[in-house]
Amino acid sequence: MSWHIEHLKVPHNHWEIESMVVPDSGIWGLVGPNGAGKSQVFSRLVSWSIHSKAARFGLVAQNPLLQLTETSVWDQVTWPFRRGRNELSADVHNRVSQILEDWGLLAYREQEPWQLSGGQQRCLALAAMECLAPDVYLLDEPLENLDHGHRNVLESKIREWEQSAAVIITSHSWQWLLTIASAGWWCHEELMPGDLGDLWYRFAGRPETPLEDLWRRLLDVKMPVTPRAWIDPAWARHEVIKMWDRGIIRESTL
Amino acid sequence: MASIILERVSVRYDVGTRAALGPLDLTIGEGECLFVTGPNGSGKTTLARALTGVVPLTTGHIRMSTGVDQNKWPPGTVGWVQQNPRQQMVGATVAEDIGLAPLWLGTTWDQAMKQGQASLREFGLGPWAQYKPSHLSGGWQHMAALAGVHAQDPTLLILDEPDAMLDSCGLDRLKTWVRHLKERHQTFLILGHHERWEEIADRVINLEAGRIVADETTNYRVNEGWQQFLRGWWVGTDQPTVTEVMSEICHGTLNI
Ligand SMILES: Nc1ncnc2c1ncn2[C@@H]1O[C@H](COP(=O)(O)OP(=O)(O)OP(=O)(O)O)[C@@H](O)[C@H]1O
Ligand SMILES: [Mg+2]
Repeated sequence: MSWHIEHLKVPHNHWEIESMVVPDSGIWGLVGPNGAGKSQVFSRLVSWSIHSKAARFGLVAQNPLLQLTETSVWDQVTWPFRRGRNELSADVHNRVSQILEDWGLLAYREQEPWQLSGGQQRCLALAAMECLAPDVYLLDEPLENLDHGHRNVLESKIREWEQSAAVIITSHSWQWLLTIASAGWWCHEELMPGDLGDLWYRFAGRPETPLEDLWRRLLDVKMPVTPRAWIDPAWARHEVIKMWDRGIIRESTL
Repeated sequence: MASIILERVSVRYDVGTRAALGPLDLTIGEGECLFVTGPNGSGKTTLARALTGVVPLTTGHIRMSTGVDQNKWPPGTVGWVQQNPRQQMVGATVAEDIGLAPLWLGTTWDQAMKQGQASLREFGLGPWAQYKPSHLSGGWQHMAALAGVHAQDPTLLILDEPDAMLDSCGLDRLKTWVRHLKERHQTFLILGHHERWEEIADRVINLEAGRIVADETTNYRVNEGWQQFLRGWWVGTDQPTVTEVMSEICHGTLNI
């Protein structure tokens, strides 16, 4: 099942999502320049889900601190399960503890969320959302502030979540997005669905690595390469050698 | 200006907990660009807080090599872009916020606004000048915070994850500014996780659980041959053709 959404206004940028299909599984990218309205799209989606009661959309905001309202890490992840009761069921207790452990936060369970480091705060917001197990995860720049270890945790978590939920991610790191998602939307005065490799080629800014630059130039001259192959040097090399062997590269064309 | 010396500095937020930072000794050379990295919770931001004086040191002291102790530094000596820049935007509009630092440091209103305007331009914030800071997108809030310390023109500059949330334009602008800071021999610290800063910084410091576990002058981790071969092309002069590059990839020594 997927959700069809129509005529959703993006208030501050004065545009409207004419129609959007939110899938029910898989990993998707939402990309666009700073200020394009990606975070607004997310909050509009959440409000749509609340009003339509069609599904549970869970947002992890760009600024995690805004979502951390409780006085301890433990309370932050368990409050939705308490509902007036003091005791958590053993099931919930174990599950929540495991999730905190996975994110490296169990040792901080008594600490106040605002006293965590920036990266720890983001992990806590992600962990709290994982505990709620929404139908759709909306992750606004989840990669920011995370160290390499936690990036790996995030990546494996996302791959786990996508089995039973859709995961929609915004990020300015094309390299990362392309390794984890294959399709998504370009967001800039409209929402344009597409293959992420194509969107990268059409819209990404100045390349950050030589390989990315090379790939752009190959695509510019219509070389038959996979747009996203530059994310993995071995893959890129493989494609280059294949083309070379087939004699496709002639000095004259470049 | 002078170098900044930290001696046996440690910070403990609560009694009974382990120190979030230190004890550590560190000298930040005049005009040096330091990249401070390390896992989440390793004490990077705490180091920034110690240098700006917003947390008291549990032990040790910080001084200039001229001997001036940290508590005697004039206001505005240290400029700090926080990890969560939203916490530092206090003006009613972006333009006002950026003008506040120079104003606070004792320039006249007109001068402050002029300095602020220059910063606004430099960071491409013109269209957002009259916005409330809280109405900016996350990336633009970050930009505005950068513009704010730029206008402050501090002796020591600390950028806590300055590349967070920025799109490629923003990143370009940031990198240009950082290169400009280096040319000007600004003393500054970049805290973060991304390897891109290793190339730019003079020195890389690795923190773990509040301690310095590595302190090295930068060496490119990126494959040297690849890097060197492409450097000319990369900065846009003396371009090798794509064919040359590809031929190198297929037959040559170049290993990507
Ligand atoms: N205000 C505070 N009160 C108590 N403990 C704190 C406070 N701020 C940070 N800490 C703790 O101090 C340690 C170091 O935090 P710090 O913010 O310096 O880390 P960091 O290296 O900047 O991490 P990150 O990469 O996540 O930003 C962490 O374990 C954190 O939980
Ligand atoms: Mg930090």
